[in-house]
Amino acid sequence: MPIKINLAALKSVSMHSDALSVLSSIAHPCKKSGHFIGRVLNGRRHVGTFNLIVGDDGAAQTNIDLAGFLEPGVGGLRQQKSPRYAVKTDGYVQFFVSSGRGQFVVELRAADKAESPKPAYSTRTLQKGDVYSTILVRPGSYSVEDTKSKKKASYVVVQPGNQKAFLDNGPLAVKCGKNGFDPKTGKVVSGKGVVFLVEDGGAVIHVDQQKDDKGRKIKGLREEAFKMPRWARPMRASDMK
Amino acid sequence: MTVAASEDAFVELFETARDNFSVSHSDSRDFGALSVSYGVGARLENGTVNLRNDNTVLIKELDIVYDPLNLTLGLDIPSVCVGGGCVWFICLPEICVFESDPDISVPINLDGIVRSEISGSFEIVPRHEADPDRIPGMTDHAAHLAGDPDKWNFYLDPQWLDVDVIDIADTVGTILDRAVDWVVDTLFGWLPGWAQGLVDAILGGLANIVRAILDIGDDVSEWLSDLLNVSLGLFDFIVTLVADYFAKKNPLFGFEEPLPLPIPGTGLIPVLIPVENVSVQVTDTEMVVSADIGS
Repeated sequence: MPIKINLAALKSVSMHSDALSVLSSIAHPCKKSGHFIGRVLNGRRHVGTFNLIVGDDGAAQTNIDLAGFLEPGVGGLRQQKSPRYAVKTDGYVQFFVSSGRGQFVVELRAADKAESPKPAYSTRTLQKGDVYSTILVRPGSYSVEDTKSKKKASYVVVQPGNQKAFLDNGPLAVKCGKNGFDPKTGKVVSGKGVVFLVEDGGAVIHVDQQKDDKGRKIKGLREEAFKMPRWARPMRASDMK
Repeated sequence: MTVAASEDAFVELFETARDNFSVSHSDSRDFGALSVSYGVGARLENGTVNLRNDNTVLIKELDIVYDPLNLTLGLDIPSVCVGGGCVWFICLPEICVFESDPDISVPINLDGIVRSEISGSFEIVPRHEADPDRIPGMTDHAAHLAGDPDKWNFYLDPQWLDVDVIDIADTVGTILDRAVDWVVDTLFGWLPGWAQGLVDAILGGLANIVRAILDIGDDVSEWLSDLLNVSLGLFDFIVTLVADYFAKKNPLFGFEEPLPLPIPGTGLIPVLIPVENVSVQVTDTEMVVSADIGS
């Protein structure tokens, strides 16, 4: 009975746009057609390269799971030599992280300037039109800050309570411009996202959980009871009697 | 030659055959999100016997007791994923926080909890059968002395059979509740409360999702009956074995053919007399076997 549990996702309390981690993503509008080389960094370590073709043939939105560049197994992006993605001109390429503890940066360079020290685009700094998304699963209060403009916001994540509430509620949409975040406060259901539309370039958005749903501060809070499943002898039919 | 047995004598023959019946069987089926494997043993109990004037034997309320009966349910718990949804022109990815692959297996012991019942009409059919251990070319006398003679055997050949589920003990509800609790606790019990709440909301209730996969409605007995009877075809399968047992495998009685006739006081080997044209007549009081001998 192998159970796969995404512990990194359940434990995630900080999501920063300049170091993409599990449950966070950046969607970048691809305005210019052409062939781009993407470099994936985990911290400072180069972990993968991919090709991005922007033109008429791609999808309106292409998602790239950066966690795949750390997977050693067959089928992981790490095993593929420069995987190839296509997106329509004016479409979006979305970098996201499905699992693990990776903190990723993606740099895009035009193929004919692949060796240029300065990338055409880097996720370290959000550009106008970028969409930074975080999926918040842990209930409690979160602080949000654009570390460049120092503008702040705060949001509360609540338990959905039931399936209807989970299904009926969607992500919270927030605009991030020169006047800061709009709205500055709000409520979102656990398991849904907060989506930031960047209206001015240069933003770096940090989302950090401050308190849990019982009002306890996260910083310094002893790691909560994420006991790994204890080994138990396999159930026997006689246990049910 | 004519031999008669009263109804009481016939009942004794039947009860001996009934008590000697036992089968075991195992099988498995896959129904998508649910798979079921089972091991079952069955025996026969009770049953009333009536000889009837129409040359048949009516057997009623013959219980099939399923013991042991071990089910193993394989459940495919859906993945628990967060995220998704679209805002403006962007659709968020879905991130799965929990996946179970392959299924979780839940063994359930239902020993002696289920009974079904057969009623049916039987004809008594005589059949001349060679002993499988008899060596080809062996004379009748040699076969008699070796204990491998041919025989006339008399079987109960079913004309029709009705099968009913007569009893599923109430405790099956408790057993299944425990099984569901065990699944939920094993899969999710170690998570902190908020995470259990989230998984519960996404799946629409942890216990509910397990019950939904099992397709348990309000009536647990009906659910189990449908599972065993309709989905697994267990009752029909066992009834077929019972029918075969009486019709082909286990004669009610039999006698050697040729029939040995001892010659008292001579010390000689018995005379073997051929028996032919064997027939059975049943009335409401007795069973009469007629045959031609020495022809």
